[in-house]
Amino acid sequence: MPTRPLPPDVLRPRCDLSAMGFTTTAELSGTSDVLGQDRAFEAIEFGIGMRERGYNVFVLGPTSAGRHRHVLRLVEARAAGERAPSDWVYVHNFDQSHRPRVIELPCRMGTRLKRDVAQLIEDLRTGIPAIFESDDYRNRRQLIDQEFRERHDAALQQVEQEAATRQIALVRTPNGLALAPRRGQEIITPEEFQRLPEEERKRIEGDLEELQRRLQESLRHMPQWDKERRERIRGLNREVTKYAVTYQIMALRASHMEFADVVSYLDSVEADIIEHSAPMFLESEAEGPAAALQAMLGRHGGEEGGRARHLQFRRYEVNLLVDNQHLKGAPVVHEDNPTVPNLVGRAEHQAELGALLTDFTLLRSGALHRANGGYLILDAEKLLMQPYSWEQLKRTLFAREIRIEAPMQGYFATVTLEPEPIALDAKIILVGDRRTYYLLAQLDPEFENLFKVAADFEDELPRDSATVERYAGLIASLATNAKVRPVERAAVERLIEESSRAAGDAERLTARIGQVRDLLLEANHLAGLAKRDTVAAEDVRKAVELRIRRADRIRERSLEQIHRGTVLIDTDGAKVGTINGLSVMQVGGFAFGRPTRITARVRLGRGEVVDIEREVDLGGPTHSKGVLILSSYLGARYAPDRPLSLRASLVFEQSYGGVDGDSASSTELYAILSALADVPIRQGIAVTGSVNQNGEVQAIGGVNEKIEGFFDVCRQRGLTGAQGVMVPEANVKHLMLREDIVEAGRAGRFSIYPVVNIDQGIEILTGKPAGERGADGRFSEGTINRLVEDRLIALAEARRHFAEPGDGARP
Amino acid sequence: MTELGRTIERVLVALDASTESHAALAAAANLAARLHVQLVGLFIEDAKLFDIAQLSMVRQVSFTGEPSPAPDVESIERSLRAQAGVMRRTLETVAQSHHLSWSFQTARGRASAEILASASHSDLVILGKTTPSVTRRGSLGATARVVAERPRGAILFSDPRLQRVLGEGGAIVVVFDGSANAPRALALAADLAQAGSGELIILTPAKDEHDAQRLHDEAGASLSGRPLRVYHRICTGAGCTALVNATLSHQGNLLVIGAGSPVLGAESLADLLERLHSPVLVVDQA
Repeated sequence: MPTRPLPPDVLRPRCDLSAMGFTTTAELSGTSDVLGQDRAFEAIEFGIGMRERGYNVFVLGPTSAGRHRHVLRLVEARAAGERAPSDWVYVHNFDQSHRPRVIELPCRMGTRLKRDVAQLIEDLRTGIPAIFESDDYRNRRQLIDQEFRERHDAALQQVEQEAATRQIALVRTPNGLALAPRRGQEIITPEEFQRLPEEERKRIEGDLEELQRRLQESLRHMPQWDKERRERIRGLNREVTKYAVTYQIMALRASHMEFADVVSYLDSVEADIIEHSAPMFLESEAEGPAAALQAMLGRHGGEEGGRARHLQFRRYEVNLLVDNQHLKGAPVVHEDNPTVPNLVGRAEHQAELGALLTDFTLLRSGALHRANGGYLILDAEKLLMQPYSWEQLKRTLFAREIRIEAPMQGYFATVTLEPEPIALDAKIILVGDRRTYYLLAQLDPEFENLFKVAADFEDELPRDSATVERYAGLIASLATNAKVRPVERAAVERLIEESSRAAGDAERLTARIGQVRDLLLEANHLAGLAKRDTVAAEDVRKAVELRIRRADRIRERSLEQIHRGTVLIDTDGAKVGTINGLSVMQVGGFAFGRPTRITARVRLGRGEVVDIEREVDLGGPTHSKGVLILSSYLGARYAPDRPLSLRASLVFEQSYGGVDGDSASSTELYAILSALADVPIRQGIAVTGSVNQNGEVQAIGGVNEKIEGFFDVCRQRGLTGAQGVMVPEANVKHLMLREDIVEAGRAGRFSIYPVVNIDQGIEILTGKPAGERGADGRFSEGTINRLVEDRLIALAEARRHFAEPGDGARP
Repeated sequence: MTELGRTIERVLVALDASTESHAALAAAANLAARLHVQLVGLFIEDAKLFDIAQLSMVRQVSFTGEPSPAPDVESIERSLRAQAGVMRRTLETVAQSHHLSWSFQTARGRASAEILASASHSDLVILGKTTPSVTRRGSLGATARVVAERPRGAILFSDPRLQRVLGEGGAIVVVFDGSANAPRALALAADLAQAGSGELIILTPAKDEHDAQRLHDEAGASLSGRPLRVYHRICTGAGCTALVNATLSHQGNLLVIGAGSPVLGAESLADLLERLHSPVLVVDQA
């Protein structure tokens, strides 16, 4: 029984929502923007609920499926019921300044500590100078200075007085102290000295030598006395500073008594202030006359002194790295730019006198810090794109602690900060596509240990009546959330049909809700241009049309090449060994089909089908597989008991970009059969479908695009009614064709033929019966199969003839 | 009437390599800036050092306590040139920071003689009051002592407090005793007060009420039109103690007095300088 074209209704199954009884989506109470993702949601719930190590979650699935949105919603719902985590502060490490100390505090206590310490610093900034400027301090300081000055003077005075009694002057020179004989107040001249009696000269020289020795002795004590004086002053400074500091710190310590780390830190602050703060508030350690000039030149005091004091006190500040005081529950952080610094924090630097300096106050938190005690959502592809980020994240998860370090830290021998690490307890949720997930699982052995939960979002949903109704509700939700016009029922139906089209299956709906939302927004825009209050079906249709229009420049060029005869495609008449195959091109997000002429030539050979594409490395492995299947089919079907003695060559004419896939294998077989039988094939029928060894035609992908591609060529030349496309019957359920094709089908001007096997197909293409084997084991006379078989027998005979000794091989 | 800037057109500061010189330089620069006058640095190469360099038997000990070779003329000159260079650069820096006109001179001789010689053709000479001797740091220096014995012109015996006085303001106390130097002392004190806090305390050592009124009127006439807050105080008693007490009790930060003031009585100016721990400006009109 000849195969009949598909009825128009099958070409694009309509969506009918009349049973829902609504006019526009304004009447629908759509509350959900998700459908059919139960498995993924369960996985996410499971993953974020498991607190054990390694149970981080990888959310995989198609883009536009709302993965981020749904993950965020689920995680936020869970986090809201959890307690806000600790605050974290960094403080100066007084023992190892390059290793800032970290302190964990209950939520909100970090802010309190920071505020209290800031107040302490402010109080000390005014309190300590006041003490150093007090009369008491000055008096005690002067007493010390005076004591040592007198000790110093006394030592020299003894020498000076002794020198004076011997008429010797003690004079300060640029290099030290000199002893010279004098007469009265004047230094004696050389002439006067020479005029002295020799005995007197010798006495003077003896006195000079002795006084020099005593002077040396006196001066040798000076460094020790200076050291002693400095010690005494330091002791005094410590004493008065302690007086200023102890009470203040005591009060602060009492208010943070329950936090041992804070108390320890405050102890260190107290000790450090007592030890080091005094010099900041003294004009200069020497406080000598030169200090005035130095002050005038700006070397001490003034702004510089203030800055020095500011820097000195900065070491007592509290760097509140993580402040959770405003959190209502556990934190949920979505880091959109997961660089290493953005993940694990960084130490910022300040330029000072041409150098870049840093300290613990310049430590900044990363997303892991902020998500600690909660959840961190990252985009897997962005994470992998950032240098070192993936490795750093893994290292952090394995170590369960966050270390602030530069990406290249360790490669340069520069002194930098090594802050104490912070214990990490956060759930990491990566969102990525399937390919990324499978690549990581395959290539990174650590991946499965760290991301034990995969939440796989569905691509498609079944298009049953219940789902369709919920889908309509979902569209209503999208409309509400996007604040677009109410969507008319017909437009909703149209959107659902487009959803099926996006899924490439009349029995499925796409789960990429983002695509539906985009189409809705575009339709709403057009409704606005048309000054409509609602989104109509026409708006959706036009939005689809414009979307294609925006993307189909290359498709148009392709059609143009065929129309102008540059690419040879016949759409009427019949030819032996020539057939129109169909292929799909993907350009960005737009796919379209186009016909390709496939030709076959046969001659005597050793039973091989030569794939010319493969011979020149333009054919992929799947295509080659399809071609090899043809040899098997031909041998088994037509020459089961004799050698298959043909050499068939197959060519994708004017194809220069490579061919893969087996969707043209049935097409190629038809061409070979036509060539063997010497029966022409209708050029108005394009063919797609793969074939197995038994001659059964199997489903292929992109059926809609392929049909539309050939339709467009035919329409351009004028539809004759004899044109159409032959598709595997298994693909009928995938048909969601354009409206114009449905209309052409309804008008009998274009036909879609479903076929189950090669015999059905060859009959459509040649108009001749395929033929069955009769009782004699031969195909019926006049059938295609008989013609093929006869030709193969003839070729086998010819081969045998050539193979006989002395026949044909003789010179 | 004396107008600001007319009594002083040039401030000369005596310098050597001591830290006290730095303080004097700072004070001099500050004063010159306030008065908008030229600043002159005079670096004095002490002749005594060259006397020592002539003697072969001289013994020297470095500041570290080690014996060092006796200085010769060449090494003394080299050292002094280096010190003068440092002081010159310091003066230049300070002057430029105050946008002052400035010059730098060197002179070799007895420090006191060079200062007195300069005082005769300078409006105001500043030298460190506590120019150091080998010992007795902080007490009156030998040079200051000699200069105080026969002052000439206007000589400000500076000490580190002067910088603070100029920086923070504070009253200037002037002794107006009716002597020959008193009017110029009053004019200079008024100039300095006008450049500073604007507060001037006039100490009048009067024998009786009539005398006090007379000095009061004279001083008032001299200061007529000046934007100053002037306070008249009677100085009871005489001698250094009376002056020191009066200065301190009126919170004076700088004392201005004429050379040979009868208020000093039998005591010398050096005694006053020794006992008053504040800068003192001595004016000798002759």
